[in-house]
Formats: sequence, C-alpha cells, structure tokens
Amino acid sequence: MGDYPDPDEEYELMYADDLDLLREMDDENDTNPVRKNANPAKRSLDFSSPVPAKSLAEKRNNAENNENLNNSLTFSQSVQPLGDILTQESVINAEESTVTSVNTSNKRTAEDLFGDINDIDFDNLELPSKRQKTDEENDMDLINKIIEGRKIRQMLEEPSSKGYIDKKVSFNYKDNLTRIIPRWPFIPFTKWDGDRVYVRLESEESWEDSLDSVTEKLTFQNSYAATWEEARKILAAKNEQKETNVSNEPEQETENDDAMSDLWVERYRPKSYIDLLSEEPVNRALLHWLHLWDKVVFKKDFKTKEPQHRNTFSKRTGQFQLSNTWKGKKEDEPEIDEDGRPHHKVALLCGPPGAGKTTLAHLLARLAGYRPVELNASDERSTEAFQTALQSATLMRSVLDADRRPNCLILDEIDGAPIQTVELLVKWCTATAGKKEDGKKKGKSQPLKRPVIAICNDLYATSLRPLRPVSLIVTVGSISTVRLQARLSLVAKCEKLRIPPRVLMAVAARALGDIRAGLHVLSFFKAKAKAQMDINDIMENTSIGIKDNAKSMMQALQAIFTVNDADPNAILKTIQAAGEYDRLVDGIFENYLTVRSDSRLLIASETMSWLRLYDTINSWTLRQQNYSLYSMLPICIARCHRLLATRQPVKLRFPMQAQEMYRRKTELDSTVWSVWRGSAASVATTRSALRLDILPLLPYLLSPVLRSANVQLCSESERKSLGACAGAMCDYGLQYVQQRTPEGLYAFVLEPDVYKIAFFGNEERARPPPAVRQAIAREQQLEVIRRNDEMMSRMSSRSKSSSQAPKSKPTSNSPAVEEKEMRIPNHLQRLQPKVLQKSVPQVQKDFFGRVVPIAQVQKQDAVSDVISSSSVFYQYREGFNNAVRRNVRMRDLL
Amino acid sequence: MNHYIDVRTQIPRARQTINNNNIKTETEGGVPEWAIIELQGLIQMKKEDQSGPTVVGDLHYFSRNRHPVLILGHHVLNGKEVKLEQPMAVIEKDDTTSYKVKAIVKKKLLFKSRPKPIISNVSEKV
Repeated sequence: MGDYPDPDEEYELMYADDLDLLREMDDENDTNPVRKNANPAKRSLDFSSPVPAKSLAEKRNNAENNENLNNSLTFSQSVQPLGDILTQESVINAEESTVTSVNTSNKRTAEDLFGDINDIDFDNLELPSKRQKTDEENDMDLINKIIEGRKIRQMLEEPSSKGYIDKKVSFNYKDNLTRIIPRWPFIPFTKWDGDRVYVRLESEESWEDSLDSVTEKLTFQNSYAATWEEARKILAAKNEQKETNVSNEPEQETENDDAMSDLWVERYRPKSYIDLLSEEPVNRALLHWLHLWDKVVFKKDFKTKEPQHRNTFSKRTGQFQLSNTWKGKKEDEPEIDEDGRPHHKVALLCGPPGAGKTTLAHLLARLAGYRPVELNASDERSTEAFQTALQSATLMRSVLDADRRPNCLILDEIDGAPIQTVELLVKWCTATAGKKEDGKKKGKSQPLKRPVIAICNDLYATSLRPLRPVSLIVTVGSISTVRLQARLSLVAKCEKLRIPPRVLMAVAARALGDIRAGLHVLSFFKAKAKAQMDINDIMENTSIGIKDNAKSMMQALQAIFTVNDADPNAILKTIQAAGEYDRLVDGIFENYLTVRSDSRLLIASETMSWLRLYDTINSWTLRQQNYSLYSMLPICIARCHRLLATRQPVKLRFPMQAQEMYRRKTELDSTVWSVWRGSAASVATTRSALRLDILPLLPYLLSPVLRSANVQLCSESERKSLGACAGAMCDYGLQYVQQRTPEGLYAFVLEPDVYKIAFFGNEERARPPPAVRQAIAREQQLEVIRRNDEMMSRMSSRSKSSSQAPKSKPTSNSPAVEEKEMRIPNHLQRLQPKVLQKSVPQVQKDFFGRVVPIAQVQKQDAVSDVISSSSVFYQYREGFNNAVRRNVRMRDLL
Repeated sequence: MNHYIDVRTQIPRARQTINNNNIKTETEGGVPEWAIIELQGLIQMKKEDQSGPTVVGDLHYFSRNRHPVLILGHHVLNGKEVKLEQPMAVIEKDDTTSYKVKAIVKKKLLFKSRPKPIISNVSEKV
C-alpha cells in the first residue's frame, strides 16, 4: 500500500485516462505528446477534480469485460461511452469528499486484481524499487488496456475517425514522459532549451506484451470494425437459424486444398478387414485362398498355422466339427496340389464397377502378408510387358529372404487385356505345374509361387474364357444400399459434412451399390462448397451421382418440360448440349399432349406449328445438304419449351413411338409391295389403288361364311363364295401357309397378310376360323391347279392355231378331233410307244440300176464263206475249269 | 457276243459241259492210243435235228511247237498237250465176262483259252 506513489501522481495517472478520452473527443488535433502546458493543465485539473474512483472502478469492470469478451463487444455496451464519461465526471466533481476512501478502495481492488503480479521479472532493470515499479507497471498495463478498450469502443462507434498511430502515441506519452524526476526507471533527455524530460524505461517484455495485445486488437478490429460487427450480427442470426452449418466455413477452405490432393476413395479406403464393405463370405473366400499360398511363399511357418485356421473356421459351423479330423485332410487334396500350391493358381474377382474389388484385393493381400503389385489397364499389357511383370513378381523371391514382403500380383481389369495376354497367364499357371518334375531337378526355379489375383467386371468376356476354368472365381456383389449409406454417413461425419440422412439415402440409392460413385458424389458436394445439401439438389440435378451415360437426351427432354426460373435462357444451351434434336422432337411430340392441360388445344396447335417448322427446316437441310439453317432447329425446340414447360413434375416417356411406327410402316409397305408384285396381270393396278381400294375390301372377300368346314356339305351359294375367295387369292397371289405356332400346333397363316393392312391392329376378328381357313387353302390349291390346266390348254390351243393358221381352212371334222385331243390334260397324257417302221429289205441294184435278185446275192455270200456256214459252232465258257474236280465213276459213263 | 455273255453267267455249270473227245493214234503194241480233247465250252449245232456223225472241226498241229489248233465253226482254238497223271484205257465189253481194250489214253489236248473268231466274207459295203 505504502509503496504506491503519492496521490498526486496517481490522480494524474487516473485522470489521464479520462483526459485522454475527453481530449480525443474534444480536440482530436492535439497529438503532440510533449507539450509544455499539458502538465500544468493536468496539475490544475488534478487539484480541481476529485478522484474518479467510480469511473475507474467501472472502467476496470469494463476492462475485465473487455478482456473476457474481446471478440464479443456488444453494441449496447458501446453505445454512448461519451455520455457515461461525462456523467461520471460530473458525479466525481460532486463527490469530492469521498476521494480518499474511494482511492483506498481503488487501491485495494487493484491489489486484489493484481495480487499475483510479483513474479514478473524485470531482470534488465537494476533499480532499487523494482517491485514497486512492476506493480505500477501492471497497473499501467491495466490502465492501458482500459483505455484501449474505450478506444475500441469509440472506434466501433466511429470507425473511420482516426489513425491508429495517433492513439498509440497519445496513450503512452502521459505515463512515460515527465519533467520531474519520476520514480519509475527513466532516461533523462535534455531539450534544446535546457528542459529536462524523463522518459520512462520499460522492460522489453512487458512493453511488447502490451504492445502486442494492443496492436492485435487494434489492427484487426480497427480497419474492419464496422463490417466485422455487421458480419457478427449476420453470423449470429445465422447461428440461431442454422446452427449446424456455421462451423463449416473455415474448415472447408482448409480442406478443399487437401481434397484436391487425394480422392476420397483413397482417403477412406478400408484400413482393416473390418472396414471392408463387401460381403463376409467373399472376403473370407479370398483370404482363405491367399492363405493357401502360405505353404509355398512363407515356407513352413504358415503351413502349420493354416490348418488351425481351418479348425477354428470349421468349429464355428457345428456340423463340420465332427468330421474335422479326416475331412480336413481330404479337403486339402483338392485345394492344394502336390507342390503345396493351391489348386487354383489365380483368383478371379468379378463384380460391378465400384464395388471395391481392387480395394479388397489390395487389402487382403496386405493382410496376408504380401506386397500387392498392381497391373491395370493403364499399364502396357502386351504379352512381353506382361511376361516381364509376371517374372518380376516371381523374381522377388530372393528379396523375400532379405525380410521383404513377397509380391502378390494384382491384375486389374483383366477383361480388357488382349486374349494373348490372358492365354499367357493361363499357360504360365498351368505349364509350370506340368513342368514341376523338371523344375525340381533344376532347383524349383520354374513354378508360379506367388498368388495372382485377377480382377474383372465381366466374368464372361471372351478373353477370359481360358482363364475361367483354372481360376478361383470370387464374385463381389454390389454393396447393399443400407451399408453404403452407413459408410457414406461415416465419411460425411469425418469430413464434417452435415448431410441429412435422407439425402445420404438418395445418394446411396443412386450409386446403385457403387461405393466409389457415392464417395465421388459426396466429394462433389463438398467441392462445390455448398454448405448444405438438400434433397432437392439431388432430385433436381438428376445428373449428380448417376453415371452420365445415355441420360443426356432424357435430361434435356425433362428440362424442356420444366420451368427453369433460375435461368430461363438456359434451355437453349441444354438443347444444344444434348444434341439429338430428332430424338428430342420425338420426345416432345410424344409428350406434348399430356404435359399440360389444354382443353382448347391452343398449346397443342402452337406446338404443332413449331414442330412443323422444325420438320420443314430439318427436311430441307437434309435434302439440300445445306446446314445454314441448322442452328434454327434448337430454337424451334426452345420455343416448344416456352409453350410446354410446367412447374409440376412431369413423367415423360422415352421417345420410342416414332421408330416403332416407322418399323411398322416399312413392314406394311413390304406387305403391300409383295401383294402388288404377286397379283396376276388381270387384276394389276397401281400400288396406291391397291392399297386404297382393293386391300381394305379384300378381307371380306377372303372370309366366306360357311356353315361347316366340310365343303361337301355346303350349299351352292356357299361353294360359290368359297370359289370366289379362292379365285381372289389366286388373283392376288395370296396363299395360306402352314406355320408352326409356339404351342406346337400348325396354323394356317395368310401370306402375305393383307388383314394387317386392311385393319390396323384389330384384324383378328375378321379372320376366318381355322377350319374354314383349311377349307379355303384346299380350295385355293385346287383353283391353282385348275388355272394351270386352263393356262396349259390355252397355250397349246394357241400354238395349234398358230401352226394351223398358214394352212388352209381346217375341215369341220378336224377341230373336233383336236378338241378331243386337247381335252386330255397334260399330266394325264401317257407316252405312246414309238411305232417302228418296218425295214424294207434294201433292193440291191447294179451299176445300171437294174435290180439284183436277192437269191443271187445270198448265194454269192454262201459260196464265199464256208466256215461261217458250218452247222457246228463253239460256245466258249469263261472261267476256270480246273478249280473243281469231281470223281467220275464208271457207271456214270456207262 | 451275246453267247459269251450267257456263258459267263453260267460258269458254275461249265464243268458239266466240257466235252471229251478222243483222237486216235497207235502205240507200238498195236493198241491204239487215243487222246482226250477237253474244251472249255460247248459245241453246238445250228440244226438240232441232224443225226449221225458230223464233222465238228479240223484239228491241226503247229509244226514248230507241236501245239494243237482246233478250227471249230468260225472259231480258232489254241490249245496244248497235257499228260494225264493216270493213263486210262478205253475198254469194250465183248461178252458178259470179257472186256477188250480198245485204246489207251495217256494225254489230253486242252483248249481252255478264249477262241478267236475267223472273220470271212467281210462285206465290201461296210
């Protein structure tokens, strides 16, 4: 207590604050710290003014508040400091008498407040009154802070009023400059006029501390005070509204940087077996297969362990436990070959993309003690490169002895590899097994001794055909939505993304079991710096989270039919980006009637006009091959958007009808064409006449009403109509063809099917019943035969008549005969044996033309030939006669 | 030619139709020595109704190699002499108790080759 400086000083000090403030408010230009009349003024004030104890106390309180609530300066507190001070001033003046008591209390409070200040060391100050000074200095510091707080408040009130440096100087000079010799450590200065000024000497630390604290507060809050305050308010309001989202902002900025550096798929890849999302049997199968390699790869250490694993494994299922002892041995035989390697040399993981196959392979290989070596589609996979990779995977064996992990080759996306590569792999796996005996002699250099895991999407790719039989096929299914959602929520929590569960559900559902896609969606949301994700975001942005294949056209179509308030002109870009104008127009055409309620068809007619314009332009463009108007096409579609866009969600149909209709049209056209070509010359017309006039009516002719299918029982008129039907069928080249139905029955089908042309779709009613069809078919065949006969006879008669024409007039008899001959149908005519004309013996004539008598000629011949006229002749029998011998008995001869 | 075809189809009966004819020579003991003529074929008559002995053909020997040649109708047959493994005797029954050796057969003339036709009276008009 007694160590304090004299009350004058203290008053001066205390008053200095108020004075400061007053001066700043009154006279801002008073920046000179070493004015001569400043001190006398103080002195005078010193005597006149009482102790501003209360104000000081208040200030201290305020200071404390300020210290505590550095960042949370409230507006109410700093509304009118000036008024406060003025009132305090007046109060102080009035209460002069209470100076001492207040002063003591003030001291006491100071002591209370700063009782533990003694330990501050001032080593570099060699002054005797060290402790006092420190107290005083602390006091000073405190005061400084108070002042500073005041200033801050002031600044907040009128932020643009002052520079920072002015204040700093102004608050220091009172304390640190005196003209009398101060008690605190000082450095004397002599001015040019002989006055001596004592400048306070402060320890560097305390000075810097105070300076730092002051500057920090001042610099930060000084320049941005107003905005800061406003921002604070807004933030506070936001905080109350959405307290969940405030804290994200700074973090996102920081984490966006490292989000760039690694994908979330990498960051959140499973670290342990438990983290694996794929199903347990899958994981276990692969891990078990990897452990089967232990005998070869890790020598005998793991060989003993491995059956134990199996024991525990089989103990879980109670059934296996009984037969464990002998079954374990038995199972070893198929799984491990005599070389100690697994029976399947390659594990083939297959599954949809993003299901975590590669991750699974890597993690399990690592778990099993291997170093995964990946070879994927981005690497060169020619046979040479592949061979080197395979060899390097095996040659690592020597390094294994040097306490390195053995390799496990992971062939990612092997279904994209060329088939030669796969064949090489298969050969390598199997051929080494075959060479085993040789290899043993050579010191086991050859066989495959490392596990190879192949990963594919499509198990049944043609290139994998050789690999499938020799490999252990492990199917990794896609992850269930629930598990995926759980994992996504975990990731979101780690990333401090606050996403409502339903949004996560939507993301998971959209990912379709693709964890990679789901993570990418989350990452995308975060990268977009959207603090909140709404379900609407996902619903609106249909492209988010869906692999963007084959969706663009439908997406554009959806955009055409929905009002876009945010950017009304975006539709043109969307249409141009989608590109397929024809499909879009098809989609519009299929949906424009259902989208909007349009009772008077005004919208429809206007849409039609725009579509017609589109058609005109498009067909002109295609016909002329002049694309100058091509850019008009999206504008037509955009106009349709203006007409058709609605706010309520529309369920659009994929435009299929145009193609379907085109297909049907070509089908019907071909039918008409075939009828036209098949029709007889007597009924030949133009195709349009056929299509318009004949074919619509032909089915009525083709379906005669018969009471029974048996033609014999029909009446004359019915038979007539049947004949007409058959005749028409012959005329137009129609016929009933037996076809086997899927049920195995044979049905008569009209060929070509004019019913389809005549009735659009509802032709089944008009068709005659099957029995009648059969009758018609028979009648038609008979008619065909009849006509052919007629044709033949006409042909022959014509030929006859043509041959007879040059002749003279035929007799009256001959036509009848010819008619008779003609009557015989062609197929009934028989071949008559050709009558051989009797050979008249040639009359021999001599040189002069006289007839030589036959007897004379024959006589000449007989005389000339003795040998040929002999009565005996010889008939030779071919063959060997010495083959068979038979005893001839005497009695046979006799 | 048609005949040949017929013969060929009747090979199994060939051995029955082989005719054995004898050629007369004489031995030193006054017993005539005959030879069997064996033909692979049939000797047929143009007119069946003829009775009595007829001239079948002419038998000649080639002078250089002693091969028999038989001209039979309009055929020429080339044969060879074959010695029989066992000589045979042609005997005639005089009484009920005695036989008389008429001849001895030691060889046969075998004509088994295909006959060659003799073409005569080639018509000039052909």
